[in-house]
Amino acid sequence: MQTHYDLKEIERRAFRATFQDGLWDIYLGIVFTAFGIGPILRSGLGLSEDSTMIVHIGLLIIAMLILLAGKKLITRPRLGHVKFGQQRQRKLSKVRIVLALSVISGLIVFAALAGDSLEMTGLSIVFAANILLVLGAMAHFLDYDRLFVYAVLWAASFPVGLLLEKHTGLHDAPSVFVATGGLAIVVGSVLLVRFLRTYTPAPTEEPTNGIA
Amino acid sequence: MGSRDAGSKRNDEQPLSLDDIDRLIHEPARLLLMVHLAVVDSADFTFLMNQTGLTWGNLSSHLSKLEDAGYVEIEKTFVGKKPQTMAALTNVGRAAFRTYRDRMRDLFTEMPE
Repeated sequence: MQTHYDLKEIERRAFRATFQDGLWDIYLGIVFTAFGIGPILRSGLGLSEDSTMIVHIGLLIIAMLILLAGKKLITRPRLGHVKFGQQRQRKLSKVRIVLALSVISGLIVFAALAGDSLEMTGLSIVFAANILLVLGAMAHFLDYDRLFVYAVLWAASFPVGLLLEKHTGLHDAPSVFVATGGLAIVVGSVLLVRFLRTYTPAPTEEPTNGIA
Repeated sequence: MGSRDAGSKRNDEQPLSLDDIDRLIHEPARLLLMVHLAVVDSADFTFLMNQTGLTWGNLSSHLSKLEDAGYVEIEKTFVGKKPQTMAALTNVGRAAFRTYRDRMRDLFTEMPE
């Protein structure tokens, strides 16, 4: 039996339990991998711009479907359902604001990147800073520590890719995206397997003592 | 049970005694439930089972007692075709938990070394 109750820690632990399934890791991993897959398919298989865009969007849709279906069919029946208090709700609202800002700034950066290849180094720094700030803020507000690691890895991906390109002459940035995204997918998959082993689906609620 | 008395005002000049402790909350399994319900808005049986390590039967029995005392509110809903039972602390339950926490702290503070 527990002998010391730290209410803040218990709340944090309960909230963190929602990330034990690894589904967010898989989702973010696929999203990030999608950024690298397009250029690789274009240069490797000679796919057109439209085809790679379809693959890119397709991967984003698959990632979202895995997250939503996984939460509904895997996590919720095993972990149960919980509504957190107002303080946590406020933190979640902040995450939504950060995400909205991320989409807007991401589109601006993407448009700028597509325009002038001479400014790639400067833009890569902007891109890295954006990822670091957005994912770092999300990690902080969500108590999702692994996201700090992903933030650093993904923020470093673009400048590292450019450095490799400079020194090896190969366009390696997409490969770095795929490698770091793939790492998150592997971590997520391991967590998912562990989650499935740890949590079995809860028994169907039956009338017991008149309340459940 | 001292649950009703525990919520009432205590004369501050009287030394705190164990009788002032709400025994309904003091039972370890129910305390565990109260602690977990105190940090969330509401939670279903599955979540509480996972977080507290209690069995389905134990959970149901203890929640029933807390519900009878007016500390916990049980709401039965359906998610699709599946029944879902959500539990939440009532205002009375939150106040009783705060009182219990304060009195336990006071009890040990007042206890000589």
